[in-house]
Amino acid sequence: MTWVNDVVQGILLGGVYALLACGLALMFGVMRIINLAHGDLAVVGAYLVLVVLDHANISPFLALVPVLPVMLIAGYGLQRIVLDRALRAGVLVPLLSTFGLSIVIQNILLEKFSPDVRSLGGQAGSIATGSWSVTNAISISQIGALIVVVAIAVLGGLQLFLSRTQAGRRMRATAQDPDTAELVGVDSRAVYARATALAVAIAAVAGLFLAIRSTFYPFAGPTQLIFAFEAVVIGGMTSLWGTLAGGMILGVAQTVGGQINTQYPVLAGHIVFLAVLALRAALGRQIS
Amino acid sequence: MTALLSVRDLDARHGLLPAVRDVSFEVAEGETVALVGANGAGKTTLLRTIAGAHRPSGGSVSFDGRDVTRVRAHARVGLGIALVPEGRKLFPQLTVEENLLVARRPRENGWNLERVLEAFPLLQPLRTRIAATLSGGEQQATAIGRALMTNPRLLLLDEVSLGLAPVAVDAVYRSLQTLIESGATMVLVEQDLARALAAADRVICMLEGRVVLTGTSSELSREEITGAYFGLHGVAQ
Amino acid sequence: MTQPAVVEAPRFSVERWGRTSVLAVSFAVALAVGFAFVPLLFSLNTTEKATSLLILVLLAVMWNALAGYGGLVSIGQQAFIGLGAYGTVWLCNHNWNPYRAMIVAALFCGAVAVGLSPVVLRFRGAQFAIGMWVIAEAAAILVSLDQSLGAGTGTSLIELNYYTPTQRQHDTYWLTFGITVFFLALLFVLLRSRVGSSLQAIRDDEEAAASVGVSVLRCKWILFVVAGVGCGAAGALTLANTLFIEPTSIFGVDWTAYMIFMVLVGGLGTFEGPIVGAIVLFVIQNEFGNNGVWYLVGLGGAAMAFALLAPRGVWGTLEERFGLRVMPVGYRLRRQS
Repeated sequence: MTWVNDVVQGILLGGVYALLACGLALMFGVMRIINLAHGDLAVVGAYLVLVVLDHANISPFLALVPVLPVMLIAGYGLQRIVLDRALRAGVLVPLLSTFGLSIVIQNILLEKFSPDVRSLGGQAGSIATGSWSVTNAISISQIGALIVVVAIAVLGGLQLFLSRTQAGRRMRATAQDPDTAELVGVDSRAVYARATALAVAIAAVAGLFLAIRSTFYPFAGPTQLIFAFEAVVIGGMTSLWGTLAGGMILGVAQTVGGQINTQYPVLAGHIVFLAVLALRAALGRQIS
Repeated sequence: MTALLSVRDLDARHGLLPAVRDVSFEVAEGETVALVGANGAGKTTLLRTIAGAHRPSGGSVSFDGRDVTRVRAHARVGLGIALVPEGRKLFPQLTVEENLLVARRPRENGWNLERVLEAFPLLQPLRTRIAATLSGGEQQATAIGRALMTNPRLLLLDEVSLGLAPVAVDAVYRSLQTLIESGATMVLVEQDLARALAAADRVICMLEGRVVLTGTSSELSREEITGAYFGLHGVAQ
Repeated sequence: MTQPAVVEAPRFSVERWGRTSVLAVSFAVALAVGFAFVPLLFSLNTTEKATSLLILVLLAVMWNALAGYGGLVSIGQQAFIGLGAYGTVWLCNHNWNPYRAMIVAALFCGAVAVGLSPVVLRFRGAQFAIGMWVIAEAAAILVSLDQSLGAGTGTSLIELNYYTPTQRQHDTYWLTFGITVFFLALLFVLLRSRVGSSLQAIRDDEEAAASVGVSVLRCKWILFVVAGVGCGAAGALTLANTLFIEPTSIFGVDWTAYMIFMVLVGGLGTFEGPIVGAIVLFVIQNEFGNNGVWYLVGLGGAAMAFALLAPRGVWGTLEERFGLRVMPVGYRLRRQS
């Protein structure tokens, strides 16, 4: 019954994808921006934690604390300086701008840090390597479980923010109709900037966990990006919980695919992604 | 008494097409002004420019003595200008209550959620309904309520009767009457001349972007207004 | 009741060609003829560079056709680029003449586009963009699993070794030249035809266009398939020009970045824009290509700068500023006084 273990592993993997996808979904949901630099921003988060660890002998989780405000500010600045103008210039411009940003980030990371593959697992302690055996065939890695918990917490927190707070309500209103939002007193540009700030900070969190669970290097961004996109789209692009589900479906597809043939996991994910899209198109459902 | 709203030589265009040409008028505190004119006369563009949703190409808008021509729309709401846009424009996926709360700008003894729901009792059972599922009349009530939640000093209403059944329009105007009687300052765009004259102290008639007739509703006759509306007697200022 | 005065309505005539257009088209034809002689007049090195330039023009024109005219933003055209290149390899492995193989491989990409279209053209917006990217990634993986195609390490077209370098470079150039001119001419004709007006209507308002009888799906289909063939051809020609390919680079999303760059810098939705953009990218690649990391940073930064400061591109801004309409793909109204 190893397939049960595969499903379990897939769900754990899905936690990573969901966490990565969260920020992407937020930016797309609020501003219709496809941020092609999102994966790279996650990698930046991991490298910033590395920098903090170079100066202080603490746990990587603790090192995230000073990195978060930096990422929040970076995201806010990114929106106000670059993406705001890009949005006004048309649909393609944010795409090109974020792609340009992606190239800039990757190459600056290459210059500052070497092309070596790194990992933060070593400094994270036993949690990075420990696991629980549920049965003989099924084992759950501690880091995998932690990531799923964090993903649920982040997604849940974001959902609560959007549905219960005034700021969240204003964000949803701006997402639906920015012009009218302005007419009822909402500063749409500030709302957008807040959304990007959140997205970038969440990307940093995702980057940290990615770095602990496996490895990272300057050009690791785009691979993660495509998985994050697949998770968002499979999940339906209409809700954050959908993104969680999407991430897990992708994770399961990859692990099951990997069982069929070790060269197939990523391909299996792509096939499931395309199949979900085709099915939705065939059923005629319009996903905005 | 300085006017609450002062519009001077305002020009606004859509691309190359002029929509508002050289418009000047004032609205005093407590006045209700009706803005009438045929489709395409520039009324909606004028209201949107006053509210800050549209950038003018010339002229100025002053509110309470302060030049707000370059002020962004959301900041004008902070100053006290609220627009109920043409077509209601509710946030479709938010509930009625959320639509109202989004616009919340609390003020001592001012409008809040409870008071708005009291003023529009038809909305009370609809608090948790998604805005896109409401009828025209219900949406209009929500839209006006939403504008009131910003505690405005100047309320701009664009075609509140558009697309509504006569019964619904009656209900809307009854609520508006209560507002007028409480001393609100309003500029009201209305296609139905009878309602406009009944509700307003003053009438401004526009044609092809220009003001062609102004006067109090008592001193202007229906014939004069109809003539100016269709541009039949030449321009009378 | 007074009668309104009767005013004579101004009379207009509809023209397609103005004096500028006649001059421009004559110039373009002369330029094309001139370009045909490049291999005979310049060194092999220059010919290779000219081939690269023409491939860039082809790619830019194709991406502009999709996004600028069809509103189809695809981040995955590299799927066809890769399939065109690897299709050529496959055919040559089965003893086809390399140059014939390239043409057939390009047509094969068109067939793939036709096959994908019923599903893919139903995707909207972001789903289409990312869907195409995923298709490209999946194709890359499938190719890298095939040993006969060189698997993950890449392959080259050894059949081309049967030609002398001069012959190979010349033949590659002329094939590239022919294909690029063909697609430019095809697009020119398409834009002047009914399809062109339909595309303009679709761009302005898809629903309204559909309501007056424009077949939105058919127009998009035509562009999608043409772009598939064009990008496939570009891939095959890249193989011939650079001799060595491997899956990650030929199926890489960098191609899309270059296409977006060229189209945005040149001017989205204009006929001349992508050509201008291709020239700009070509110049940048040649001048700065050797500066490693900073070249890419500069390219990325330049893309961002253009996107923010001149979003209509070089040609688009020129068109707007000077009311310039060079190639006669539209209509002009001339008032008769």
